[in-house]
Amino acid sequence: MQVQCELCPKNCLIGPGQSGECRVRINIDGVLRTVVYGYPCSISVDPVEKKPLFHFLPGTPILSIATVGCNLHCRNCQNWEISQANPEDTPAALCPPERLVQLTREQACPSIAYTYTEPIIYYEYTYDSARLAREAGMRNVLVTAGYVNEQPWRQLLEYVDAANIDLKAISDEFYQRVCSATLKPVQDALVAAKASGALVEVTHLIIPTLNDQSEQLQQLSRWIKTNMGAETPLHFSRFFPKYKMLNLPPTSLKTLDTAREIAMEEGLQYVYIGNIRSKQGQNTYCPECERLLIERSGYIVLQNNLKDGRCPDCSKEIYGVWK
Amino acid sequence: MTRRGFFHGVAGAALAILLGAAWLVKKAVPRRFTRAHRLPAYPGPVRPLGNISKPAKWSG
Ligand code: SF4
Ligand SMILES: [Zn+2]
Repeated sequence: MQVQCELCPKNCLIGPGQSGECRVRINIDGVLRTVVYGYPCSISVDPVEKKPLFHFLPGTPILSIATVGCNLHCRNCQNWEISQANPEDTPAALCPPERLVQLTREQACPSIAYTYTEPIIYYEYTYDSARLAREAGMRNVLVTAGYVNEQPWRQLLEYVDAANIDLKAISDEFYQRVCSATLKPVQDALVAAKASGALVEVTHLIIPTLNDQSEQLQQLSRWIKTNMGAETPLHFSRFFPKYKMLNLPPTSLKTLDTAREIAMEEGLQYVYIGNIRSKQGQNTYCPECERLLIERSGYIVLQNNLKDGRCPDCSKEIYGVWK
Repeated sequence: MTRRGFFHGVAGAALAILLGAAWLVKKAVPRRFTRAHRLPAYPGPVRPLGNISKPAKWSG
């Protein structure tokens, strides 16, 4: 008997013994089973800035996990060795939710990140861990492409404190051609996440010739401002040739700087540049009086001048979770 | 065969056909899941946790 997985917009019809597109959800005797529950293929303590999250507990460590698999197949995936791999071929460690929470405590991390591949496809593991972590007073962070159906997304958001969600382009054609996905569900997920009260930051990877035109960047920034608010932090990230996209050069610093200028002209208040050293593009400034609030170098916080989440000069409240 | 016997035969055959069709439809319509059940064991190689205190090499 076939089963249908209704977790993400792919809505895979899965035959007996077969798996869905994400490779980790399998039809066994007419029952949908997750094969990666409690088995992360990566588990590490990262700086929270690496997610990237710049407005969430700056300077803190975050226990970060991923299982193998992904529901998208981006031709430029930076982590394709684990996102596009089969569980049968990928070593993983046993770490059920209880153990994960215990490890987080032992490592003195205030939060857990479900990241690297796609936390949606290991949904049950993410959900159970997040609920347990919340009960233990810890915070939960998702780093996701946001390609998920509405009902499971809303349920998961109840336990999510912060998320960095990719907006890979503002073009359905791009999503289909480069990522084998579609744009609308991602836009819906972004809006729902923001409306849930979780802190949301957006990442846009700029790929030369594919999504680096001024009009595209204008359109993307405008969409974020209109639908999520001007205070939503936006990270322009540098592309490196990887996986199936080896024919394009890395994004230049000039393109990233221009993108940042465009987004700020469109009215976004916090725009950053990532995957490259950039003096101004890594710091947080007050949108009211331009005072330097947080100075960063790579993933390190050099100074944090916020006072109770406000600018020390003009007292403007700065969007974020600061304690 | 009496008229009553004939109608009984027809009704029985119709019922059998209906039950068969219902069984086929049930088989053909997939069961729908949002949440998946756990598999008792991981299908790939299981390794120890190792040193988790260093940043991962992966992006994100
Ligand atoms: S989560 Fe996986 S199995 Fe389920 S619909 Fe999406 S790609 Fe298919
Ligand atoms: Zn100020």
